[in-house]
Amino acid sequence: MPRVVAAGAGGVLAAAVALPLPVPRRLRPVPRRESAPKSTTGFFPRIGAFVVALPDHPWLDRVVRGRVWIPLLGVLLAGIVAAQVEILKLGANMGSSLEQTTTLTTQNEQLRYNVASLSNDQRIERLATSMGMVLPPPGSVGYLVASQRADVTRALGNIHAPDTTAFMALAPGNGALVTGAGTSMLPTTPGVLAQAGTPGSATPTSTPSPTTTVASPGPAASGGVGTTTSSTTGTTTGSTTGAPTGSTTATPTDTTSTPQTTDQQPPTDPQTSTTAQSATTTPQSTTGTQSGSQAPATGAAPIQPAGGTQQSSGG
Amino acid sequence: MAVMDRRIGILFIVFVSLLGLALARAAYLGSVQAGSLERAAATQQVSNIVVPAPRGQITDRDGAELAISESADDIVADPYLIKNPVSASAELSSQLGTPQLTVLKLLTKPHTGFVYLAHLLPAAQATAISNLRIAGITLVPQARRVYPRGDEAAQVVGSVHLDGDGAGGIEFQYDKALEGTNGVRRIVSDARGQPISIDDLRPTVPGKTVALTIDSGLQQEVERVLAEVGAEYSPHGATAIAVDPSTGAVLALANWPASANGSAAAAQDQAIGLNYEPGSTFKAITVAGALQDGLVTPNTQFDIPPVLQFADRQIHDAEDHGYETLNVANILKVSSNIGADLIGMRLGAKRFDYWVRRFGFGQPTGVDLPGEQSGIVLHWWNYSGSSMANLPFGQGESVTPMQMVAAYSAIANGGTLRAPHVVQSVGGKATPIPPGRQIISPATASELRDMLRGVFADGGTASGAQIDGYDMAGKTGTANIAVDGHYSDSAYVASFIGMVPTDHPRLVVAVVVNQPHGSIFGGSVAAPAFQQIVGWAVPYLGIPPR
Repeated sequence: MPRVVAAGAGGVLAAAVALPLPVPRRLRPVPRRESAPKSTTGFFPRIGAFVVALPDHPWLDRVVRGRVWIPLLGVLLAGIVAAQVEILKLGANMGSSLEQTTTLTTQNEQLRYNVASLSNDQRIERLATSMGMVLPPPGSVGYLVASQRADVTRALGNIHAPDTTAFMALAPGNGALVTGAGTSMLPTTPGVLAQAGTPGSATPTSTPSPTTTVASPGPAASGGVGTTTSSTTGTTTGSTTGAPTGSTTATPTDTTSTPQTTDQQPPTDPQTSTTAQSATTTPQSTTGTQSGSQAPATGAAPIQPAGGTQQSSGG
Repeated sequence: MAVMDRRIGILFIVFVSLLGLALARAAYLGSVQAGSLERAAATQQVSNIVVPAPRGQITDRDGAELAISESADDIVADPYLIKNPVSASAELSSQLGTPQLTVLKLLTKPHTGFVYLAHLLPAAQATAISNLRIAGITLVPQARRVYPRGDEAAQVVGSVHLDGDGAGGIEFQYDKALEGTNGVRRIVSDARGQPISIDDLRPTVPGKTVALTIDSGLQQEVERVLAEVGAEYSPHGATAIAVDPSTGAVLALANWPASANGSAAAAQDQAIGLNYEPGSTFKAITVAGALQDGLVTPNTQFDIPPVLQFADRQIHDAEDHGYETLNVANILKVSSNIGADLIGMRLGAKRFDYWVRRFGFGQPTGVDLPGEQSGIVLHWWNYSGSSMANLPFGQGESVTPMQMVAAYSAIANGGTLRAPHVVQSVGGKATPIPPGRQIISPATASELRDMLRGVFADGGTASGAQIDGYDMAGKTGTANIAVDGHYSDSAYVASFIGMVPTDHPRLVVAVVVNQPHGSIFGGSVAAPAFQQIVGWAVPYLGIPPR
């Protein structure tokens, strides 16, 4: 049957014949297709099935209905608290570790400062001087030239750790120079030790060339007029008085090329010996500077200034 | 059973009620109080602290530490939080080493919450103060600069300001490399102040190590020798430089007085900051130019009158003599002013000026030290009629000791002028050797060295400075100092520059003594110092005798 639909305001009827609504068709029940039997052998499907069935699990039912859950919950809560406590303890440890790191860093810095201070060359030199060691004069240090046929294996075999015992055994005599293989310049008495650093002390006897080096860092280094020493060479003339005429007739020789060495003669002149001993008390004795009554090692008289001449800047 | 159910019901209600209260409280704190609590937590439990980067070390060429940094703290007080200022000041004053009254005054300073009690306190002292646990006292971590070897190479190493920035020397020149980057660390603490979380928001980057070419052993010896010169001649100042001429590496650079006394003169690095008239050491430059131009040879003879009339000037030699004939080698040997003038005349003003500048005078050498002076060298067109009367023998131009060392290094290494340098590596990376330029031929340099060898020979101005077994070359210098437009009769600069060994020099040493008293001559003041330095250095550096 057609339906009349009233529309709009004003009472205007707009009649229209509506089309009949389609009669809903009753759908035939579609038979549910049986899904293919799922495989129950897979891991995840079995887990899924277990989770789905968990609410109806009899064990859970027994826990909920029984009193087991109370201690279980208690244990869980205690675990949470314990975990929090552990976190706090870790935090505290972190703080103390940080503090320890700072402390160790500070100590490290302090130790580094100490190392730097203790390795001060001047300090070591002072200690060495107090032990009787002296610096050799520049001309008396020998240098070896490597042979073209050098046996590296043999050289390596000869390298060994320093023997502290042997060094300490030499300690009382340190201060003299050891030159060449097996030839020692070690003095026999401490008084003679000072000979090595005696400014102006001359060996009264001459030693024919070839000779070896003798540690005498005094005026030998200056080579100035009025200073006479037996520094690097063989024949030595002159005196210890500092007379301006004295000069060293030293002819420097290559100490490395001289196979023979000659021990330094102990001083027989008491005056020389005295000078030697007193010189050891002055630090200059190790540096080759003048001391005592010796003439200044300035050598030739320096050019005197021209009086009143402004253009006299001669060196 | 009904009783049991009822009890369970009651418990349930209680639990639910408590839970409801807790939730309500949490909601209140999390919403209404959230802002203020967040701020409070940020200030009380979260702190961002600056972790100062340790400043890089300065070492010598062998790694001996000349400057290092160590932890220190600034001690800060908040007077508002100090509950008992009297007892706090008593405890702090003993640790700070400050009078209690001074500390008390700071702790009670009105209208402020921030007062410095001490700066850069060593870590041990700061820890002791921290252990006092005085509320309102805070330690601000810092790093302080220490110099384990005291004043060694003080003017080269330099110093830092209170804030840690470089103030002079290498500390200033290489400040960027040395300072590193401060880190930022975020620390979250619990209510008891225990840190529960530490995050490095910005990592600390330590400063780089700057290794110098300075050899600590030689440096100390040079300083010792200069101290002896200072004690003996009481000069206004003195400086000494030792250089490896083949590379320009400065092995030692010392000044006297050292910086310990804190005087202004001590703070200046005279090696690069002293402008002085070089005197006779400059004759080598005059001769080098004439040799290179082919105007003279070592054997060229000059007639030397007792007095040379030049424009309105009368030029004398330092030692009176009659008419004599000297070759160029002997002019250098006896340091004849008149002879140098005659050589200069052959060069002429223009060529002389060319050679002066060719040797690098009138401009900084480029050494990697701050504050280098350039000297004062007139251009030839500014010469007066009598300029060439004194310029050739080292009067009328100002140079620095470093310039002289660079020039003599060129003579020593075969004619290559190269900027001296004091830094060997930065952060383990070697700094390149400054490029050099050939200014005279190797043959000319060799001839010049041969002639300078005569200065050590008998009759030479430095014959007393000879070292047995060693072949050396050098030149003395004694220069008047100009005061109020006139050369002083009492103020001189004594200097000596030499090299060893002559044929292939491995060491150039300059000693400049400003206004010595007692003796004034380069041959008697500076040359013996040179002799001591070289005498110590040759075995130390393994320089064999001839």
